[in-house]
Amino acid sequence: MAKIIRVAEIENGHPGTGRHIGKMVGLKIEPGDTVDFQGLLTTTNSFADELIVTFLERHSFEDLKTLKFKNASPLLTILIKRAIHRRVLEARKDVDHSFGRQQFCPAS
Amino acid sequence: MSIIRLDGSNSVQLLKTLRGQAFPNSYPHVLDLSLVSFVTPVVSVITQILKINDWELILPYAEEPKQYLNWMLSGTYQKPERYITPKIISKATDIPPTTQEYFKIFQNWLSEEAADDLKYSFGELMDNVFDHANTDIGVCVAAQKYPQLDKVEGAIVDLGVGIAYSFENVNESNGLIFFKKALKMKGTSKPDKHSGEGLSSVLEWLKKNHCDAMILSQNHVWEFLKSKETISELNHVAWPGTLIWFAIPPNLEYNLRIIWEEFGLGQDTSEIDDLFL
Repeated sequence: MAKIIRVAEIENGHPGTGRHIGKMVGLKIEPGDTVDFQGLLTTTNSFADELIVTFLERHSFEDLKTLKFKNASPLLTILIKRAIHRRVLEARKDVDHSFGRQQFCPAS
Repeated sequence: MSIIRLDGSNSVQLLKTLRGQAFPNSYPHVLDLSLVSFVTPVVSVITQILKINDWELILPYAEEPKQYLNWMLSGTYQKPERYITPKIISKATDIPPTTQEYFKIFQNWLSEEAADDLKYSFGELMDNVFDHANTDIGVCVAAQKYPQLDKVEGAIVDLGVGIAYSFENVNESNGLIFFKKALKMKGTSKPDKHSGEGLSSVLEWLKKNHCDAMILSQNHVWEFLKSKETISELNHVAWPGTLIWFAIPPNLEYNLRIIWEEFGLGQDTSEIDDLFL
């Protein structure tokens, strides 16, 4: 059942670096949910990237397109769009149907 | 006994003095502030983080900076209309409440957009310390508004491994290559996480807005002064960790949203635009 994920509550409950909070949020989101960023303090690139990649490790891009992002600041909107773009749209050139973290890693 | 001396009346002079000295390995250490005539955020963070590492301090000869420093270090000087006094953030869990505290102050100092961007910048730089610097002490942050000079200065310092040395496969001979790589977009130490983009975005934001800034990180120096960028490698350790300083005006021409758009959203995003309410 679709629910509203209040990100500021997760941030309060699991404070830490942006990447840590992004992971906590990404683990709680399910397809169809609305992600509400009202009152969120953390707006780093790492937060946005980890949120998206954590969700995509468990779900598909089609699932991601069922989400709604609400009350994101203009900067956070750009960061999330870029994370999606980076993780999915750009990666389509190389890999189909699978959106986990490892598939998109350039060789280190 | 090893002595590091700070000398100067502004942050650029102080940092240039600092990087001209080799940081000592021997003990005990002394931080000599006797010639410091103004307590800038650079002085605050350096003094605070070395003090908790048991460095001995020689306070400024001049009465006014000596008083400021004593007040700031004791935590009794609370004037958020002008200063964010140096604060050690020792746990990642303290980042969100600290960010909130600073953001309220930034909103009184800067335009709404610049305050939001400065909040982002401090957030990214604090995150970096906990994600990459590998230090138990944490990070020290300070900021100050200069109404007469029409600018805000910020400084953030740690005693971690340094920017270049957070990469794998780095050594003394290729350190500068990795340092330069870390400053550029897509120059990441952890490709799967796109680590390092936060720092790159902050530096790009400062450069686009022609803000003065400097980084001392182990034996590497990045500076952007009067819109001229210089990256160099020293034969000695200029700072045993990473020290980042910047000065910004209250209103900025370029905001971070534009910087990020330029970084990566040149292509069509119509497929995901509808996700945002």
